[in-house]
Amino acid sequence: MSGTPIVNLRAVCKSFGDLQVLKSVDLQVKLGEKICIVGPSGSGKSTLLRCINLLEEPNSGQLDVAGTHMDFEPGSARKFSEKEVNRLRQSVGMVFQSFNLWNHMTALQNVMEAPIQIKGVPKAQAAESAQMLLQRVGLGNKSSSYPSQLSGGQQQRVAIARALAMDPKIMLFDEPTSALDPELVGEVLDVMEKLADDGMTMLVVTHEMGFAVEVADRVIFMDHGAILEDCVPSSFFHQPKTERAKQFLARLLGRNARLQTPVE
Amino acid sequence: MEAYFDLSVLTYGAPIFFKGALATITFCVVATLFGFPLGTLIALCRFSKLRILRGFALAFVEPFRNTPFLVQAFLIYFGLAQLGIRMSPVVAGAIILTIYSSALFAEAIRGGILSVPRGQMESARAVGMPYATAMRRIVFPQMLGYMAPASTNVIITLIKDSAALAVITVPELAMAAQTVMGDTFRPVEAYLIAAVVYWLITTGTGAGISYVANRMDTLRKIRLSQSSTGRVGQ
Ligand SMILES: Nc1ncnc2c1ncn2[C@@H]1O[C@H](COP(=O)(O)OP(=O)(O)OP(=O)(O)O)[C@@H](O)[C@H]1O
Ligand SMILES: [Mg+2]
Repeated sequence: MSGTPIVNLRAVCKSFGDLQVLKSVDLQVKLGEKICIVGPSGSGKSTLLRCINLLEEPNSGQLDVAGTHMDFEPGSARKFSEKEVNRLRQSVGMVFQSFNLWNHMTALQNVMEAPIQIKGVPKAQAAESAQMLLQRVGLGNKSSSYPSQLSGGQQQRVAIARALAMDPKIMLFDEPTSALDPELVGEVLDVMEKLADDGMTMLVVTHEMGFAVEVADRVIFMDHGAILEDCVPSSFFHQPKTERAKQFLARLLGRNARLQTPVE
Repeated sequence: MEAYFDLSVLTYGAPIFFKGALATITFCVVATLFGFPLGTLIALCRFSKLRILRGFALAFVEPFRNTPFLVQAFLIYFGLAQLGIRMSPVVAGAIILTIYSSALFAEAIRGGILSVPRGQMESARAVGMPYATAMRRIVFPQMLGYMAPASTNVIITLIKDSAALAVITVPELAMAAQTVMGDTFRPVEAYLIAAVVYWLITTGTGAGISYVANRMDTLRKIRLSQSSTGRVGQ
């Protein structure tokens, strides 16, 4: 199975008004691959992920995601239906920086909701699978808690379970740990690592370099809406090719170093 | 000059006021039951991708919000009559109050939808939920929690403004005051009693809604929650 591309973007462009946020991005993700995306703020990382599940619609380019092909031409009407978009999204799980759990539902209900509403899974069966997913993210005992009763790390783990409930072929993570208190980051990364070990295809925007080194097959460096580097983690971190990547890493590592050695 | 309260007006008018109060309550209940779903549709139009629908909703809501109900009731009732559409005052009154109610609810519901954090809708769409399902399952239940105070305002406005239906001879509470005044020649007593009855109905309604709202589970859960980044809609 591995080797089949599950995501294939060709010359994808996206603008907000006059601001060109993605400048002809090409990206191929093979089934089972784990890719970390890094880059300075505003470089278009979130927009790239959001184009893959069509939360943002590219202005031009071509997109193949989980067997759905879509062409985007500037100025022409879209050639695909809302139904196709929803079908595509069902095979693409997304985890947000701010969790976005549904506030009026318990953890279990959050995980059951999509399979019941979208796939028509019977309630009892959905509840059973949801309970298993909560156990998988270490929250089997929190099924009846509301989001407001959970810590940030627990909420994010429920959000991961919620995305997994649709049985996606690929998972997108947009800075899943950057809204968390430092002591809660580990529990979320652990769940993600387990997911990676289970063979999930993952595209992760993160600045957790440890995670990138441990888990990623490739690291992608973005700046000003373009992919500047795309290589294995060790060569990215040790021999970045572009000047911009060097500067970015220097700033990032500098900040980490400063955090570790107290300033006099 | 007479500075006393003639109690006989109360004993004479009691059955008339009672019937009038019942009518006012019935009119407002009808206007709420039909106006809320209509208002929901109009509010959804305000968020539509289609410019025409947005324009229609705005053009519908604004005149009703920004002119006195008394004037609206007059215009609609006599305007329709001039066009040859004749209805009994009771039917016309119920329809006019319902239209007014739908415009007021549309605004309250729009506010409610806007106060649901944007990420709620976004995460629903991201798992592949159609827009309508996401609205129904995710946004609406939370919206109801946020909009209890606004709904109370709308309903109390309906109760007070429905008094204007007296101008098209709808037999409600203000009309009852008019009748009692005519029969007894005691305007102060008649309208004082009407005022007290209106006040009882509005405060009773307000207390009732907040009692129900406080017991509503969804509301409690949303109050507990801390996330509030960004909003649904534009
Ligand atoms: N919906 C939008 N409307 C207008 N501009 C937007 C929108 N979304 C993103 N942008 C702009 O596009 C640019 C890229 O945004 P994006 O969120 O993709 O960057 P990012 O790499 O994820 O940054 P960060 O690390 O801060 O999350 C930014 O300048 C941002 O202000
Ligand atoms: Mg981002």
